Amino acid sequence: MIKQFPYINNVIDCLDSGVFVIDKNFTVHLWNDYMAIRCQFTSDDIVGSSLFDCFPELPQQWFKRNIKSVFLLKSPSYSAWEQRAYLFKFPHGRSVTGGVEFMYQNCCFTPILGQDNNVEYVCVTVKDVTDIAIATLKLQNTVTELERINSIDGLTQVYNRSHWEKCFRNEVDRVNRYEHPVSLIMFDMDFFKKINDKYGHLCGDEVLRETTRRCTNSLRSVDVLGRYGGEEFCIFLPEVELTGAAYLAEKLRHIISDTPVYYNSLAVSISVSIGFTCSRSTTNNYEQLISEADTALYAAKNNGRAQCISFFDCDV
Amino acid sequence: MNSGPYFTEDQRDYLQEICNIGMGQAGQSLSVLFEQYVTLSVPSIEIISEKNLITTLKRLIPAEKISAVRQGFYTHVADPNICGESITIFSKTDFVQLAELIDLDEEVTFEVEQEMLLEISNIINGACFSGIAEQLSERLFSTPPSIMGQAIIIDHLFNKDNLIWDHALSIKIHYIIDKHSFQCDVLLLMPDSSVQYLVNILNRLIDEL
Repeated sequence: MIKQFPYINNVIDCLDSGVFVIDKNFTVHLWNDYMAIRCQFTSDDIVGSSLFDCFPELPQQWFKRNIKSVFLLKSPSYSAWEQRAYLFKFPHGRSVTGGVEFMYQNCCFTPILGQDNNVEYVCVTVKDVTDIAIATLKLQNTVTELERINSIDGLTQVYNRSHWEKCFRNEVDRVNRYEHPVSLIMFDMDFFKKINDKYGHLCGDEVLRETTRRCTNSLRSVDVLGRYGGEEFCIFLPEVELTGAAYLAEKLRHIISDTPVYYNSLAVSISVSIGFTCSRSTTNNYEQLISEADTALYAAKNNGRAQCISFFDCDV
Repeated sequence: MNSGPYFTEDQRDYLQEICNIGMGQAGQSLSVLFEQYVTLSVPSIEIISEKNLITTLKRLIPAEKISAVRQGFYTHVADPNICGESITIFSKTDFVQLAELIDLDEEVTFEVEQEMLLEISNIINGACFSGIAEQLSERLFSTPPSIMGQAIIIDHLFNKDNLIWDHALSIKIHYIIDKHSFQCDVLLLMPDSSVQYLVNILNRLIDEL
């Protein structure tokens, strides 16, 4: 005969986690102090009652499904805060500094076997993981923000070269796999150095910012704009054929050049040279496409600037 | 060079036998739980090396994008013991069908999808662990399941720096629930240290035959 420690129930009440026991009809058989302190039911109130009568807000269907598998498989089942923030809406210890209104919980449903080796009860433990949740969520936000900062150009707020190239590379992979078209436009500000020299670098910065604003407003949400270099920009247009690219290139050229950029009430006239190309049905290479658009862009420059040229009209 | 742990023919046969029986039991309890016929493949056992892990995984699971859930399992923590991880791998999962399978009538959000993956994995692993535990006459304990990745490529499943073993025993089981066109793979992985202990248990059981 094993001698039972006489204060075992006090120990359960001392635990720093919620512990309670239910049977297959969801009648409560044990309810420790940790649970009692955090809701309106003491052990005397709730033992013998149905859990769902006392907590009608519990996700009943989910609860029943979980308990069913514990009874059938005789193995534990779990609820994690990442997917289900809590089972019982309890207060938590960071009411002042936490920034959250409830206790994040990890819960575990463990079978208690009777003498015939069948599951008789299920013991549920409720663990407070609010601190972990707050730290993890903060870390996730920080990672997201770092990824954002790492992928955009600080001056113009459009994608930087490396991130744009990554997006374009993925797009070209898709294009090759599904044989959809993609077009690529590259443009460069004409005589940008002169703007900088004449009006100062702050004016040059404003010209770049205003140019990307004008572009962004004329693009579809699926088009991807990036700053390729100093005053050179690139846009890829998913599902757009060469004729569509030619149309958009000309439209962008007008939208950018038709009105001057105002800087300190000074009207600064700008223009752009544009080169564009389009994918073939398969075996496209993203670097090859960039080099084609670049070739067309330099043809536009050499041909007197302020114009759009297709790679397919270039002599190569 | 360490050529990794290996089994004698007897040990291997016996392990295969244990897995077959264990999985048969697991399939039965899953069929009762889901009220659906659950088909399991014959467990395929192999030793994989850390160096070829990704290549091996790609051969075992030829899918473009996968979602995976990991769950630890261990025998009584004494040295030596068995401690491994079970990785449930889902590919081409139709979450609406999956929701039907487990009688879920919530809206299927990203969190609900994750919860379904965890729940299904836990159920399958629970059945699997108790099937094997019974055959080994050992108690197997498990840790809560956690998401390794959702819709990722298999190359990103493991962080190379975290693999501090040379060889691992892999037991792969393929699960199919036809009516809900649901399928997944379970990989039970045990590092070298656990394999040694497993060999001891196998020897003991073979002697008792």
